[in-house]
Amino acid sequence: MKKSNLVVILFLIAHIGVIFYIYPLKIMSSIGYGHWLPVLITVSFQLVFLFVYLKGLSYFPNQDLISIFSLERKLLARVLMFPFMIYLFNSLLVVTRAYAEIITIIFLQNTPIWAIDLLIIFIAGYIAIKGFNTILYTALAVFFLFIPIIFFAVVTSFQNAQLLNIFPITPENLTFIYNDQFLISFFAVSPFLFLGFIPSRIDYEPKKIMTAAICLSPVYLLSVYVPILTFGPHTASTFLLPFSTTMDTISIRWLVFDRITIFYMLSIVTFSLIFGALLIWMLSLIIHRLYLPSLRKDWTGILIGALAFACGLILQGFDEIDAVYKFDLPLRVYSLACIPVILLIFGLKKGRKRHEQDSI
Amino acid sequence: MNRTPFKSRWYLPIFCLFLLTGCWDNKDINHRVLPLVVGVKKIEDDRYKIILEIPTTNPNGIQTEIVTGTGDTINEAIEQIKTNLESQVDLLHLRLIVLDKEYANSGTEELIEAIMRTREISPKAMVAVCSNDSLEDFFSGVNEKVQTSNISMLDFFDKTAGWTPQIVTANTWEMYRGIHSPTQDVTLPVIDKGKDTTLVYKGSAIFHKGAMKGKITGDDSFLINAYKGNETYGKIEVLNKASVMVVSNRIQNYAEIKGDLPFLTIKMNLNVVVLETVGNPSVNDVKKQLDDLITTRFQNVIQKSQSEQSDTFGFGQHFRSLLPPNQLTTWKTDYYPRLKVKVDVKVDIRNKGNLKSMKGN
Repeated sequence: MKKSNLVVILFLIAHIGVIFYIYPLKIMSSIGYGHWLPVLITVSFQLVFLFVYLKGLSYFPNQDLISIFSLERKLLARVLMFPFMIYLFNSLLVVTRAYAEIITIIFLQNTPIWAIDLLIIFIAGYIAIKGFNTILYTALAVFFLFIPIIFFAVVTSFQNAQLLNIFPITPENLTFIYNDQFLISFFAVSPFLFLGFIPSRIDYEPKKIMTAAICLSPVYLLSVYVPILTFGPHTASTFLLPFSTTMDTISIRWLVFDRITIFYMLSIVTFSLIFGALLIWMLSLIIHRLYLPSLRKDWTGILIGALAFACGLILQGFDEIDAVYKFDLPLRVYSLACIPVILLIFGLKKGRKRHEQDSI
Repeated sequence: MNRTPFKSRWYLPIFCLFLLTGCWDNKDINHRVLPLVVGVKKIEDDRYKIILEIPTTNPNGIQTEIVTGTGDTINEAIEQIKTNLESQVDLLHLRLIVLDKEYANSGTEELIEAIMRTREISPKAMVAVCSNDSLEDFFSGVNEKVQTSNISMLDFFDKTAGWTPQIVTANTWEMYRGIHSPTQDVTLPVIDKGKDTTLVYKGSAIFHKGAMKGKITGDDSFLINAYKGNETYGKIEVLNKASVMVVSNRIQNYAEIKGDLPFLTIKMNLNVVVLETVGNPSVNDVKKQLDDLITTRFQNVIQKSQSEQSDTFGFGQHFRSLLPPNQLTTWKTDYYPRLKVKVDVKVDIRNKGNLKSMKGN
């Protein structure tokens, strides 16, 4: 398969993994009914800033975010990338730790949390250390293995849907815009940032990425609306994992397995392993090239994994994971909105310079 | 012959193989018991009593034993059973939760929430109310029957086994939805131990916010299944002049709010087959009788559930789009008791069996 298509698959997988896990919960705690409005805002936010990001990158063919920012002075890159790096690390911490917690809630009640956390970080770190190509090909394998399961899960999850539960359809109010929970939900958008780190030897077509992003928008909507159609907004908002609880209500007589939830949940966890691998890989790139060039790249990856594991041990439970999300808020705005805009400004400046040089 | 050296990088994948065994907290199947039915009641001092029906295997087939535990919370009671039993109790395969009558009357919100909270019990487990005065008596009676006939109590509710259209069924998650949703409630089947059969169906119980409010008969419960679009094939209606079997039905709802009053028109299309006739009824007589019967039953159930503020049929669902959103939460207490329902039954006779016509036609 062409590498450009692999990048698209990686893009899809990284997003789906995060969307199904955190997105419905956060949207439902930010607004009582009329959930389509926050979903619409998320989707348009993603499309706009993804476009800006891709546009900015297109001014610098064969260069990644780090080298673009270091074009003028390395110090500038170090300053610009520092909050971004902290954000990526927090994402890694949250993804690995929260998924470990969810696994203990759903099917491994008696296994100690550190063992699950270690396993997740170990696998993600291993893939990351092997480099970007490994991430790409793992994504491909995971995609073909698990997308049928996710597809099956989503289709069957309509079994108990009642269309009338969609009402009331007018949004409750507009105060959700500055609600913490709504701002946290933008975490589901963040995986697209990896596009800025793709090595120059791999080509990808920005058009295909945009198409993939448009294809993702119904996924955002489904993840929120399937639980709402099944339980009604008042009930659905009481769950920690609305989508997987909806899966729990499905009974399919001809299926040998009683609980489809476990298959669905494992697929989602695998997808986020890929996202975790991406995060470790991005972090080790940034640290290796900007801050600690003397340290070997794979050792950086191992150190990051160890640090994430150590921090994961310190976090006591969901409340503290939520605190990390909240601490992240300004960093998230910076990484998702400011970084693409700064990149575009760099690009436009370069474009003008070249234009001036041409006219002289 | 050249021996290729064993590369050190192979140690890592081989080490990973050991992780695959998963023998962390593994307990073998012969050290686990998998209860299928659980009974819940309250005893003095607000304590819970849990009764588990545990299937055990022996050469003569399936046998069951009854184990009980008490505690201030449900988990404490289960914990007590777990401590006393020599095997690990796995509630993962729990299929039926039988509630004591008194306990159901006093409100079951805590139990249902506990079940939804724990991942151990499946939200698909069905819930029923036991009309026997003593839950212990019910369990021992059922147990005796199961021992002799080898038929599981669960077959009663199984759509591929002993289920009939009068029997309403409800899962735990539906009950949880009934507690939280402002516009619909749940109905549970009421059962007791039988003289000849394992169980007898005693109609259904209507609930408001997780507490049982009243009982409706089995024939009336058929309407709940019919209204909710569950399979109604095979329900036999006995009229004065004929017996007919329902083969299919279709429901349409028209909701409106005039001023402050909610109105609902239900159009019900029943397709029936004539089984037998008494005397000399015309086709129209049969249609008219069935129409009257269904309409009065509908009004009965509606009246009863309106007085208990329990939206048994989920009529409120049709008003979700009509009421102002902030008024929705007052549906059950404010609007629903004032709801005017018009039932419009249309009966079609699909065939008259193997005889060409009814007598006299």
